[in-house]
Amino acid sequence: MQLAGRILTRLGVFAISLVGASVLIFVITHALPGDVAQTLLGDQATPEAVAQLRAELGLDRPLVVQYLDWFGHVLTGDFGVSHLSGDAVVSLLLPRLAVTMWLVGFSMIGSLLLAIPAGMLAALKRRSWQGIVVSATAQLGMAIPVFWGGILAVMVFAVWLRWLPANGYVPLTQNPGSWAAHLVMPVVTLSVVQAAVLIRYVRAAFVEVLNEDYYRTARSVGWTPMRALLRHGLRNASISLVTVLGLQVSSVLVGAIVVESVFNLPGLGSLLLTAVSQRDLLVVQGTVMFLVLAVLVISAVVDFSYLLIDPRQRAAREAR
Amino acid sequence: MKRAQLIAGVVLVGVVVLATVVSLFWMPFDPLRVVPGQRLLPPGPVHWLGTDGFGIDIFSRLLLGARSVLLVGIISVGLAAVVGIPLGMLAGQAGGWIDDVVMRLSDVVYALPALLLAILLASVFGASTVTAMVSIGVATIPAFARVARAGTLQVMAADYVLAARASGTSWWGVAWRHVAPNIAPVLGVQASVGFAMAILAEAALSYLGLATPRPNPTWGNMLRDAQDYIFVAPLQAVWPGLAIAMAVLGFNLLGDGLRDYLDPRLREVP
Amino acid sequence: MSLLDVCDLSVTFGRRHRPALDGVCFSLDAGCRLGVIGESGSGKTVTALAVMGLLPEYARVSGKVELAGHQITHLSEAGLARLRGDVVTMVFQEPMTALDPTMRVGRQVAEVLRLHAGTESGPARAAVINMLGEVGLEDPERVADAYPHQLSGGQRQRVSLAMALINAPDLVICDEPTTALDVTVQATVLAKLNDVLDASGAACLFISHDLAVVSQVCDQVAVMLDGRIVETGSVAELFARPQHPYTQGLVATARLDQTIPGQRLPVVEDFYRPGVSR
Repeated sequence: MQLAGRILTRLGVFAISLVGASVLIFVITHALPGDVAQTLLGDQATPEAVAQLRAELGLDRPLVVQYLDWFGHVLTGDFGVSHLSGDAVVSLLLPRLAVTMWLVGFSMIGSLLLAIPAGMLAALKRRSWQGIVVSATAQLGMAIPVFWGGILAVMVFAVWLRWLPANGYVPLTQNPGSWAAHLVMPVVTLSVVQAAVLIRYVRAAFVEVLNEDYYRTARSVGWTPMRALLRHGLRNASISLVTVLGLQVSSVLVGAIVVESVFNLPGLGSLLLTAVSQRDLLVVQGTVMFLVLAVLVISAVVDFSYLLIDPRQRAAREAR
Repeated sequence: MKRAQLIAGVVLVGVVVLATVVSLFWMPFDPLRVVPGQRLLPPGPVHWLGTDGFGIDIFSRLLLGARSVLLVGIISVGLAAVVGIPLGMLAGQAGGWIDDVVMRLSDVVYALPALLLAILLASVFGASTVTAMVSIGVATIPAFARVARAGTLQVMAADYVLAARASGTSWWGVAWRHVAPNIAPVLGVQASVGFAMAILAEAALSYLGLATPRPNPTWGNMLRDAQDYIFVAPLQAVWPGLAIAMAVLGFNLLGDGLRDYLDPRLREVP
Repeated sequence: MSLLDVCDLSVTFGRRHRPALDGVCFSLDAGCRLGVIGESGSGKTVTALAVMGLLPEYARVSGKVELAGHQITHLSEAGLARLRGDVVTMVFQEPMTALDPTMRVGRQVAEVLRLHAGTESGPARAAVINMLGEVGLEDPERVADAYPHQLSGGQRQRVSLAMALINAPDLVICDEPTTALDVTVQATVLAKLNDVLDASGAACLFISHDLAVVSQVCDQVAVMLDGRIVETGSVAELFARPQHPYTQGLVATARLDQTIPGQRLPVVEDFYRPGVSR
């Protein structure tokens, strides 16, 4: 019962955030001073042409009607049409989605693979030099802007060692080896920077476990500190880490957009930045809306996954 | 150890402030004037850090860039604090539906990170320092609101506040006399950490061409320009990055150090 | 040779000047039971953790702790881990938090068995269910498949006891094992503890602040005060002729049946005031 309530509350938060964010996006693009038709056509356009485009895009209707029309289309998967090319935003998004998804997915996994062992070590050895070194390295890593990390990686691995291509992208279906070679640097860059942020949370979660009675029990029956932490800490710490991970989704996505720009990857980030430079407002609006929707869905899914980890929640579900 | 953190933070932040102040009075070369004959010079006694692809002294551009770091940081953190703190205090003190509304609003803003806000604003108004400051500031509001709210809830549960309210102290009286002084330290920490985040965000935005446009230098757009010469003059891509990392590290250390200094109970909180 | 020999054990934490333990000496023969009694902060739990080798790394330890021929203070972490759960085990005070909330209790007990004996999962489960039944849990099959939050405090403490006894240790340390339980549950858990200790023949170091509880389990008692053992003897001796003023206070408060009706109940401070005797 309690669980059903939690799920409903979380879905409610999801719905409110979605509607709220869509209103915000719509208000920024339509209601602020700066006419959409004028922006699309540029400063030199004649008033007649602007008026005609306004009628075409339905910009002469009341704002509320325009918003409902637009948001209704978004809910059915229609994110608008590019004014410049006449292509549907969805048809621009889909071919680029794979690049961003690889980058975000691998980086999420990579950052966890780095941050969990490092955070555990930092917690376990928090009073000796190993722990201090890990924490200090994380502190340094947090200060490095992700694009500078990418540039430094290019300097070392592409310019100096010539191991990896400096930029560009090859689809997986075309040449898997080349695909991997082009993705390694972007993924590692984003993973490392993201891991630096995550380590503090992982460390805090495991320090909490170290202070728990069940950890002491595990030690008292003969587990070594590391094995006790793996056996009993990982699952318990992951309950609090899942929440953090949900919050990290949007920062990984933002990082991916920046990293795409560093390595010249043809993903959603490059679509957005091109659209911004061309002032293709409707593509920007549609793509941003799509990204917001994706972040909200993923965060909700991540949040729900802790129901699977925590038996106290699972039991509540079984009892229902 | 903890003390060392605070001192290192103060020193690093001090360097950024000092660079800004110095840039107001003195810069070795004009940071905006293109000198075609002096392109891509290596570091030397004249141009300490060398020159960029336009023949401009990199050290002078770094000094000028420090200004925009402080400016964007102060304005965006200020905006977030001015809007977020009262909202958070209101939510924490009033509770009920007001609390719900404020928290849901912060969820909404949370769904739109600074980068996406900046992209929207830049496509409507054109990229500028102002669009960057506004988008970073707005995106930082929820952080301040949440910290202020959590602190307020804690203070409101204390017996002395219950006593003050029972004896008829007004809402404003409680907020001003009891809540504000108690949550000020945590907000100071948040401001410092928020400043670090703002510097990172501003650097990313200007790197992507979504903030201060050229020819005005920012550490971010200097890195974008340096990337074009990465095969011929790789050192160019080191200095601005070091400057950003130093400033961010400084504000993070300052925040952490303040946290430990002000309240040892907060030590294990990330 | 005795099973446990503690000699001149001193423990200091961090920069604090007053040691948590100050020259503690006692020994315990195989199969015997020693109660350690004292108020919180007197060093009872520190003694227990020192015997387990579980003191935090910032503790400074001197003196000798010899358990079944092993020098605890000289052993490596891996060497200690081999002893813990096999030769020496511990039951903690707080049953609500002593078990991993995310793991079925049967598995938690089975892991202890497998860790030291290497039993495969079939016989392990049978042994676990048998052990759970032995510590007095009804329907041990169902309990084994339950998560800690589905059990009562008394049931959880019995599970902890099963974990401590599953490998037939030589020494079981009980740190206030019944303090967090209801009085009625306390009595049945203590009775069961007596039974299983008798059955297994394990020695027991029983820590409590309550002389009445200690007297139900142990025959020998050591009284601790400010990190020292101030008095030792059999329970009967202690009740009959308490020597140290603090012990006199403890006995008086434990023997409320001897209080004259209408008089104020005795407190330890009537007999011993901290700081006065030092």
